[in-house]
Amino acid sequence: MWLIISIVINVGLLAYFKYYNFFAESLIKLMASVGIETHLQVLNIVLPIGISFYTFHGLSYVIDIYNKRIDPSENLVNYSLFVSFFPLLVAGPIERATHLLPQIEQPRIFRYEKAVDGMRQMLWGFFKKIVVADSCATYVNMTFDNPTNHSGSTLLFGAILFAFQIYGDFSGYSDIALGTARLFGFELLNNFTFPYFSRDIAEFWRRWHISLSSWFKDYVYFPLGGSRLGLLTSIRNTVIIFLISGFWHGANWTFVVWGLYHALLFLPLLLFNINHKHKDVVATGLFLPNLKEWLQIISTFFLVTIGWIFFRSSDLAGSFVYIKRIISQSLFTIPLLDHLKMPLAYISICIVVEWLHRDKIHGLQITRLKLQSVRWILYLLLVMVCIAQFRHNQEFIYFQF
Amino acid sequence: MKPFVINVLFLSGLLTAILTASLFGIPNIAAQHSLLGALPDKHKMLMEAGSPKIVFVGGSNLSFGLESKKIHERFKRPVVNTGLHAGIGLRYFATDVLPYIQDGDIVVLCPEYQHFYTDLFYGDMELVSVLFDIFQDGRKHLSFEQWYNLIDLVPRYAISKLKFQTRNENNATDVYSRKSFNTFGDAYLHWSRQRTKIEHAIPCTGKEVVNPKSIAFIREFSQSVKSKGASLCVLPPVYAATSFNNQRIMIKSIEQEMNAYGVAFITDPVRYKLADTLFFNTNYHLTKKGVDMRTKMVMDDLQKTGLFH
Repeated sequence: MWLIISIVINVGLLAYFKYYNFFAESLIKLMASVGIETHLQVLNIVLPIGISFYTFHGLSYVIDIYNKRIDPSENLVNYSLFVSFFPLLVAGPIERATHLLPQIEQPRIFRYEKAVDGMRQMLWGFFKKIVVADSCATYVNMTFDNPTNHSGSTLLFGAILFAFQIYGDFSGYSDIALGTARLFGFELLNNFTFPYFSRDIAEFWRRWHISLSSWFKDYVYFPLGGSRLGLLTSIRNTVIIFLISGFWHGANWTFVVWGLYHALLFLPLLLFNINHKHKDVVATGLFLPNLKEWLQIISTFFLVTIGWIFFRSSDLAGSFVYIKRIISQSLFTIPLLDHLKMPLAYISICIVVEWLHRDKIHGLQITRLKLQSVRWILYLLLVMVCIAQFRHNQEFIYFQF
Repeated sequence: MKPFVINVLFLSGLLTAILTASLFGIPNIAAQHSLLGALPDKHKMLMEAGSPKIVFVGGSNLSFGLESKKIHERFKRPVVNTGLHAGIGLRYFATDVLPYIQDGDIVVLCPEYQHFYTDLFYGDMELVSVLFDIFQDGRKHLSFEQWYNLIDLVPRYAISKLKFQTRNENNATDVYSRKSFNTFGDAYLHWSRQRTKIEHAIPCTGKEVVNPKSIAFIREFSQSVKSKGASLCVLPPVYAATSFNNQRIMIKSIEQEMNAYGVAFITDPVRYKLADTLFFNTNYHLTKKGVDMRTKMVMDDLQKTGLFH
């Protein structure tokens, strides 16, 4: 009973703030299409920042107590800190009570190595956000704001740059959050493990926004029966998870289609039972992947990038126009080069650094560099590049979710 | 924890030392030879112009949009076009000319629209460049509030000075060089050049708000000018038609605020909405044909103010 009340309150608030207008407007349009005029009031309210994230924190707490995975916290301060822990308040990672609350309840001890590595992770996060993601923004905005004004090749680069913008933006934020928490002695759930080195979509989803994927798996997929009740149930549950995941990102059909698109990419792997094929780190012990792995990585990235077009477009019609214009003769022309060279250079640096550290927690876990002076020069260079590239009014994309 | 704090402090100190050395120790030759480097030249023009003179104050809509010689011939007065770059900021470029204003002068203030609703009012990277590498005395003109708005640009500027500079230091054909100005302060090298495609201002979202401080500052500036026995006219900037249409709501708000503060434009801003084809490379920089048209309009508008007898 209490569980239901808690879920209704949490989900109800989220639905009210985030989805009410979407359903109201969709209903008005639907009724209008059959000639019925509907007078539903559309709300003019501000979406509380990070609501999707802390709602899920709260839900995980009550569900875990109900499932006896954790005892209720007797300390209001500890519970409040769990729900509102500042590094992850606005854009995650979505923490679990079972993981974070015990850390809060224990006394913390300062560890030099941990604090230093936290600082490194923060620095790498700032680099990905300020340098990689924000440098892509100009080109991405230009192509997505006016797709009809640009050639197919320019639009293709716009989509590729958006793939890195959203990665740099969100994984950058996650690295900053994880690094900050580590500095204070907390270990948060890892949210990204180099997803663009994935060899198929299933691996991509084990490496992208891990805290959300695992949340849905534990609190929605398994309660619905998971894969225990046969293939059809498994397919149904997978589609539901991807649709909810898309809808979680925002009240827009573009996100729903993005979720459905990924479900369609995932289902063949599920049907052939090869969705757990790639669980290791790609090209372990080797400097470069083999040809097969190259092709797998590039094709997975290509498929993910198509999905990002739906995600980034303001409406479905816009995303189809974008894709249609890419698939045209102008795809084979020279793309617009303004605002393209520097983002590509920064993306290349990001890829090389992350490839070299693909078996680590983050891109700047530089255990290979033994000389302290060399490490410090690297830190100074990264800080200076971040300062030089810093621009006002470049918010994190995931703040809106 | 002690070694960690010491290391963090040491790295922070090292970074601060590098930035400080760059800021004060490395000359920015490129900036000194760019159009920003013409600021001391314009001070000299103001000093030598005599009085009563006409002083145009604004950003590049003036430097790249006026032929002052014609104005001088029409009104038989010395004319100085102090326009350089919008990034210097309304607050700075207006304050900068005040010491040179004398009894009987006519000051024509013509800021870009962005000065009214963005932080450009306080200045941008160009102002930081001026303050550290072109006219250090200018730092005295800055208020605490202005420093506060510029402070995060200073480290960025210091780092930008560490970059390898490939700009030709003394390029007399560059339209953005110090040498691109005539004796009146008008940039003229672009008059003989082909126009390029201009990027239009994005449409207003409706969320932009006029910065009341920029309007209050104009009123304050007007009083300072009057206290010196001079007169102030506030002229709308010239603006490419597409950008004007995109920003129409904002421009209307600016006009209304100006009227409310008693520092109205001397003419309707829509009068200076000119065809996109008259613009050289931005929505504020005119081609020669545009310059001729705009200069005539400015002369007609000034004539109507009744300040010239």
